[in-house]
Amino acid sequence: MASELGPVLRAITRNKTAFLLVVMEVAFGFAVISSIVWVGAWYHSRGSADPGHSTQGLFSVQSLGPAESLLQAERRQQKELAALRSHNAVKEAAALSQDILDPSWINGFFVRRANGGAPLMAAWAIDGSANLADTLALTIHEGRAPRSFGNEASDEALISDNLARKLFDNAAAAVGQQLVMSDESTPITVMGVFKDARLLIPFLVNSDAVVLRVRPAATTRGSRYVVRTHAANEDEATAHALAATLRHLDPERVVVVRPYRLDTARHVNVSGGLIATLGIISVALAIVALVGNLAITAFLVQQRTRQVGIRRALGATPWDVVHYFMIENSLAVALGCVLGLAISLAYYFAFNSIFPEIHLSPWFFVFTAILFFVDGMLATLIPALRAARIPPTVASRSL
Amino acid sequence: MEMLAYHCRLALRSLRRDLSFSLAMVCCLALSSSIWGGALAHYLRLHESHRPWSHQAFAIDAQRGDTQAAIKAMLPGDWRRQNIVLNWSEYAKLKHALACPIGGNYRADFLVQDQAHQLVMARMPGRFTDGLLFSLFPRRFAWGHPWSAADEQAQRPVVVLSRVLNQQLFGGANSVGRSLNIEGRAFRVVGVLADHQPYLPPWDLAAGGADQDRFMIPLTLAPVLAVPPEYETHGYARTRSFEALLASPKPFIATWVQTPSAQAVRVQTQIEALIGTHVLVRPLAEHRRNYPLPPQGAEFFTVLCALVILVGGFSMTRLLFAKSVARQKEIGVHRALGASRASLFVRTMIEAAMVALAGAILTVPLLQLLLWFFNARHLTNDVPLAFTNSLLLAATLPAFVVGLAAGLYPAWRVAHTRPTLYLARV
Repeated sequence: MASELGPVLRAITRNKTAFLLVVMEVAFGFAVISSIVWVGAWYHSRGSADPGHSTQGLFSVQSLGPAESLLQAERRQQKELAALRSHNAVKEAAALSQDILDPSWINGFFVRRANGGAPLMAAWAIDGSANLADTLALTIHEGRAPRSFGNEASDEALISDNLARKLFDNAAAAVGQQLVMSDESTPITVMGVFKDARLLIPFLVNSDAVVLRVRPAATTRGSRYVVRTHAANEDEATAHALAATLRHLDPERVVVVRPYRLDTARHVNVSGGLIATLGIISVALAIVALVGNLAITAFLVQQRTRQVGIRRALGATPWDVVHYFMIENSLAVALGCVLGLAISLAYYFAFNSIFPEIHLSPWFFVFTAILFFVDGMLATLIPALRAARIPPTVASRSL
Repeated sequence: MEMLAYHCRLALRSLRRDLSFSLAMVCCLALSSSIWGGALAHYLRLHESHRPWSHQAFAIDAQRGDTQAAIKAMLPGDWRRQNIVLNWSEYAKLKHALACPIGGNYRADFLVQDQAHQLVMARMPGRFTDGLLFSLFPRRFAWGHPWSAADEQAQRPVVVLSRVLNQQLFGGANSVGRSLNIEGRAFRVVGVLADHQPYLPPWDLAAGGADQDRFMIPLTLAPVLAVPPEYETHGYARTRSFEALLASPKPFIATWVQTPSAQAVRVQTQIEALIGTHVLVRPLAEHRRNYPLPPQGAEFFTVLCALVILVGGFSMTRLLFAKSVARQKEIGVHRALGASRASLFVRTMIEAAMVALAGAILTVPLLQLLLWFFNARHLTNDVPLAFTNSLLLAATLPAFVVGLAAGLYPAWRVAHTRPTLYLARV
């Protein structure tokens, strides 16, 4: 290897421009691809993360109609909940104000500890029945679920593990503490902490910081429910039966029942579309880089036909010739990768506010470097193999 | 001129001779510039709403002191959507007492059904607005016109459909005079918009790149339909009924006044006297400067794809360079026969220009294909990426410039080929 380096370095010095062009192209290409990899990984993590709770037999149900008084809406919600719970296929049913299938990009609230001492944090409140955590099959690993039931508001709440850690350092310390949310003046008491679950659109900042409050979730224009059934997710008969149950109460009502399928949720489509876009950019860039690489390596080989012939005449094997070109290309790729890494990191620090909570892994860069080495090898191999076939007699032709 | 034609013929012959090299260069350039164009389409869509609208459109920007400062500290990137708009009682006072025309609007989710109640759309985004919006921010109508002041005052159920909803409900045909059911009431279609809504509609001071408003209905109907705004406002108690919202201090109505610039300060003083809150009355451009957009994904991708076009340029330089060095012997003979450096430089540059031109032309269908893909994949919202003249220019011109720039070094190398080196071998 060391013995090969001398001739390679001398060849590079003779063809500085060609070498520099390879380095620059790899550097910019590396910056683009590695940025695509970390952004793509971020979108992928947002779009395909484990929901953290069972979605088996879970349905999202909406009952909508023209505005009515709040009192009427709450009564209607009680009736609808009772009707849903009495259905044979239903294990649990709970009302809730919003969830991951909600197409609106709704606002969050700010939360702080009632006794001060911790910063104000952006968090998300889901209001609903006291049995909401049970219906969603959330894992409560500290404390207990709120005991209140019915349509009455309670000062008891559950918070996510993520929020507990941010506000109280650990989940156990959060139980029994009081919180103040920006949309209410009275504090709420943390009764338990549940394991982080995907309950809201994951592109939102702090989407894991969730407070489940026991509140009447009805609005004057309708209610939203989550229903755990004995059925499989795709069971259309169950979906129809749930819709019929609510329509039986009021035939004029618009009832929308969807299986709780995360793969059809909007955030999954968005992240899928963006990953596909990033893939197109990557493929286009790889083609451009490969074509450029092929051309320049073919040129270098052609330039050195006589030199290769002399080496072959002096006893170099075909493998030595291939090896020689591989080392030359690898040096250019390595230098380009180092330069590209610097550009990519600068890019990351300039734009990371767009992608909150992104975790930059060294594997992203390793993967990109491997990609460029493979790309470079592929581009070098064909011309290098051609060079390896140059007979030693070529060297004697001009003697 | 004759010399130029001669050089062009030679360049064309050279491109034909190394056809695979030439095609590779064109493809590299076209691929990279179409990717750049795709990113640019996102960027232009984001900034399209900055085009000048009425010079008499002034936004009312409520300055709520401590509340606003606290919200800004909590959500520095997102606070523009909050708090600067007016609450219902402030808006009602101004509407009643202000001398100049005033227009408010807010966005909400509606329950919509077609006339036959066959097609039901739950939670469809629409907008309550005063008719003044149509004169402050004029938009093209495919059919019909905005509703009248009389419609507004009489609280008539009239609706202006977006292009998207008209396509969805009526197949894109003229639907003026037809009806649709919004929140259980029949609304008569009076107009259909011809164009898609800008990504950030300027009339919505709180906009954040959501889906287009599917329709607009008079703001005077808001108390009748009782549909609350799409967003809760930070820092205010959640209101669960519309009556409670109207009675609360929670701001949700983006409000504009129509006034000549010279009168803006006087209008501002009048508004402050009427509602007792410090406000700023300023034109859209100034408002945007004060509430700059938080960093967006489109900007990230635009910068990223600018690097892609650079890679394309480097690739083309490498190909041209390889080609020129491979033909050094022939060029040396040319030089020995009297070809000047300038003529060789010009000939190589013409070759680069031809490749650049072909690359720029090929960019157009590739870019259209890419935009079709992006629009089909339904990205972050439903405002489609448009293939506009400005996009065409912004995508193809850099392709041409990068192609030309890529030819500079190889042309210089060709021009500096020493004739003696090759004559010695003859």
